[in-house]
Amino acid sequence: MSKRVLGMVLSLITVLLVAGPFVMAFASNDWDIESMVSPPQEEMEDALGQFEAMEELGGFEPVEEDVDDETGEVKITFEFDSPLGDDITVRKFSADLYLDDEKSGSLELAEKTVLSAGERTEFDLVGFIDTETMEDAVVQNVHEDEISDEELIEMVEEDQEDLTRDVLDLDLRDTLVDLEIFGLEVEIREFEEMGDLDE
Amino acid sequence: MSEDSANDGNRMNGVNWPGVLVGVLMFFIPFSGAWWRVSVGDVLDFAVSPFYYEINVMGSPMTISLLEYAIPAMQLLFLIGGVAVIVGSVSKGMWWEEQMKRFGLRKAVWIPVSFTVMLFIGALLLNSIFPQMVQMNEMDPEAEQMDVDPDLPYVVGSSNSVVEMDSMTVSAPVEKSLTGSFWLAFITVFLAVLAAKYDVLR
Repeated sequence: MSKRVLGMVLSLITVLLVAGPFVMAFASNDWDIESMVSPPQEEMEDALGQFEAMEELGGFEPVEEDVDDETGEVKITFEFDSPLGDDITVRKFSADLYLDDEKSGSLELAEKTVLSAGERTEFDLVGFIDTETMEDAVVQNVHEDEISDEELIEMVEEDQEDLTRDVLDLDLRDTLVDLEIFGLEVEIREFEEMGDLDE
Repeated sequence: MSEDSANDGNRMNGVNWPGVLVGVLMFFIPFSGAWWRVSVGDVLDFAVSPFYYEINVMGSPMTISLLEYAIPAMQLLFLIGGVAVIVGSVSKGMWWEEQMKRFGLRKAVWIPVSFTVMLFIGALLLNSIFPQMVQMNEMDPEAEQMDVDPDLPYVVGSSNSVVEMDSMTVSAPVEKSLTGSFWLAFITVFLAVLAAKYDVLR
C-alpha cells in the first residue's frame, strides 16, 4: 500500500464518519431537517404533559373541617391528588378570610408539606375565624333580606357552626403561596379575591 | 542476545511516548461521559460532549435523531484515531509513521477544540438571544407581560434566573459546569501537540 492509498483511505474514513451520520439521519427522517434535529413528537408530548398537568392543578378537596365555636380556631384538612411526576414542596401558605368585604379570619399551612408525585396527600390549614364578625354579617344580611327569617331560625336551630356559616365559603384574599416544584422556587402573591376555599 | 537487547533498546528509543499516551487516552475519552452540563432546576438537564448527550425535560428523556447517528460515528472515529496514533508512534522509520500519527493526532486536537469553540459560540448566542426574546415579549402588548432577569453564566457558573409574571415570581437556579472528562480531553490535546513536536524536540 502506498502513502497515497493510505492517505486516501484515512481521508475516506473521516469523510464517511463525519458526513455519513448526517445523511443517514436526514434519510431516516424523510429528508426533514426539523425532525432530524428535534426530539420526536411523543417525547415532546411527555414533557409537555407535565406542563399541562401543572396548569390543571387545583384538585384540592376539603375532607375535614373543624371549627371551635368558642375560640374561633379553625383546622381544615385538605386532600390533594397530584397529577405531576415530581413532588411539590409547599413551604408556606397564608391567606386572609373575608366575609362580605369584612375580614373574618386567617389561615395558614400547619407545616411544610410535600405533595408526593402521583399520590394522594393530606395536609392541614390552621387559623382562626372571628365568630362575632360573622354573626354580625349574618344579622346584617337578615336586615338586607338576604337571609329570610325562616332560614335564620333554621340556622340557629341547627347549631352555632351553621350560624357562623361554612368557613369554606369565605373568600380568600392577600394570599401568599411559597412552593418548590421541579427545583424551581415559586412564589404567588394574590391581593385580589381568589374565590373561596371550595374552588 | 546482547544484539537483540540493543535492537529492543533502539526500538524503544524510537517510540513517540506522548503519542502512545494520546492513543491510549483516545480509547477512554469517548466513553467518559459528558464534558459540559447545564441544568435549570429539575426542569432541564442537558449534558453533552462530542461522544455523549443526555437531555431531560421535566424528568422526560429526549432523543435527537442526528445525535443518535453522529455520536457512535464520532466514537468510532476517535477510536480509529487512537489506533492510528499508537501505530504511528511505534513505527519509527516506517513509511506510514507520519500519516498515521497525523491522522490520529488531528482527531485528538480538532474534535475537543471544535466542541469548545461551538460551546462558546452557543453560549454567546444563548446569552445574547435570550434577553432579546424577553425584550420582544415586552414590546408585544398582547403577550403576557414578564419581567425576566436571566442572569445566565456563560459557560461555567451558577446563577439564579428570576421571572416575574403578574402575581407570580419564579426563581430558577441555573448551573453550568465543565466535567473532569473535558479536562481529560484537553490534557490529551496538550499531549497531542507535544507528540507532534516530540521527534523534533528529542
